Amino acid sequence: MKVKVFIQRLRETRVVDLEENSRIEDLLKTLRISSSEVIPVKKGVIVTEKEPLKEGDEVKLLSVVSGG
Amino acid sequence: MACEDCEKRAVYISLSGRSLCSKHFKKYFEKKVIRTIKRHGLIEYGERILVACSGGKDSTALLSFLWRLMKNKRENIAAIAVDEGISGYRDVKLRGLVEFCEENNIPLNKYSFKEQYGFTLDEAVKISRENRLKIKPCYICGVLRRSLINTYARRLGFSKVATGHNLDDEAQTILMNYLRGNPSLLARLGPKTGIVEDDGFVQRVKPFYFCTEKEDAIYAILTGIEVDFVECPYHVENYRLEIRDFLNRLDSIIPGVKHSLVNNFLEILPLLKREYSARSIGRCRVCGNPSAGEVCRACMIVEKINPFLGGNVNLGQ
Ligand SMILES: [Zn+2]
Ligand SMILES: [Zn+2]
Repeated sequence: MKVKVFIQRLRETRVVDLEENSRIEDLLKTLRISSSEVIPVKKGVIVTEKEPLKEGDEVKLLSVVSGG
Repeated sequence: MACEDCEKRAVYISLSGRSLCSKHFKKYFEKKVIRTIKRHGLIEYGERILVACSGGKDSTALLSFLWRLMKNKRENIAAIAVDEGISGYRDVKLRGLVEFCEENNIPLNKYSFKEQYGFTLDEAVKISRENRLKIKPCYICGVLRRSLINTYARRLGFSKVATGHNLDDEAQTILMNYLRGNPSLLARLGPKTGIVEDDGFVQRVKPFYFCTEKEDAIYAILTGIEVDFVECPYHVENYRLEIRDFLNRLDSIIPGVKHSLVNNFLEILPLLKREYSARSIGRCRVCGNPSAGEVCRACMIVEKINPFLGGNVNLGQ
């Protein structure tokens, strides 16, 4: 299944191909992004790493780093 | 995933596996901060606290939290911000802070390197590069900012300076100092800093000490603080970035590794403090701040940059 993801820190949108029944944590693993660096947002609300994903979902990964 | 306390949608799973909705996350976060303040004696009753603000999410969230916490003692709290003169960065960050303080009626004391030292950080960096002075931007920035904040905290009658440093910041600093072999710098860390009891030195406290950067960021978002992701242009030269990425990668393989780094460090901190606290400290003959040498590090930077500046220069007095 395909999921659209916006990575705030890179100001970049990507389409990621994931296995069925994947969760946010699987998406992060595929992108090699540490969970402690991003806040996942789906449909305008913050979600956890355990959030299930489905075909066509759009996810934003907000950067937790603000550079002081 | 549902909140373990109320069944609402969870926004966060803590290290110990608690899933929390936005309301219960805020409770969890604030409880942790209050526990840190109490357990480590960060703020004593009736003390006047100056919050060092950068315009970033951590210090703004801290200011917002302390402003609410001290709602019956608001005369005891104010913000201080330093504009180092980093074009396109600090000016952008401080704009949001000024608005935030105006909206909430929080007194904000704003100072700049330019007024105080006669040059912006951008100018100092340029001078240092052109003349091969080899003073790193982050060093100039950190030393001068700390000196300025200490000077004004003292002058304005505040007994503590609170900073927005979080667990990630502390873990990075600990590791950096270990790797560089700087045990005396390690002794200056901890939730309440300073190894020298000196009335010229305003103690710095870190109420977010046990909160991760991610927790801070979620808290900031949930309390309506705008989180931007403008990064400092000088960060590219920073060794800290490498350490940050390394620790975060490690933490995704070994969850809680940053917590244990900091907690283990706190076990040995009393020993480090004992080892390095015996040295008495004098006063800088230029600015009067506490200093190990005759002239403090801030004034030394100013002396190095000065000869390359045209016009009048204020030595920060
Ligand atoms: Zn809840
Ligand atoms: Zn000095």
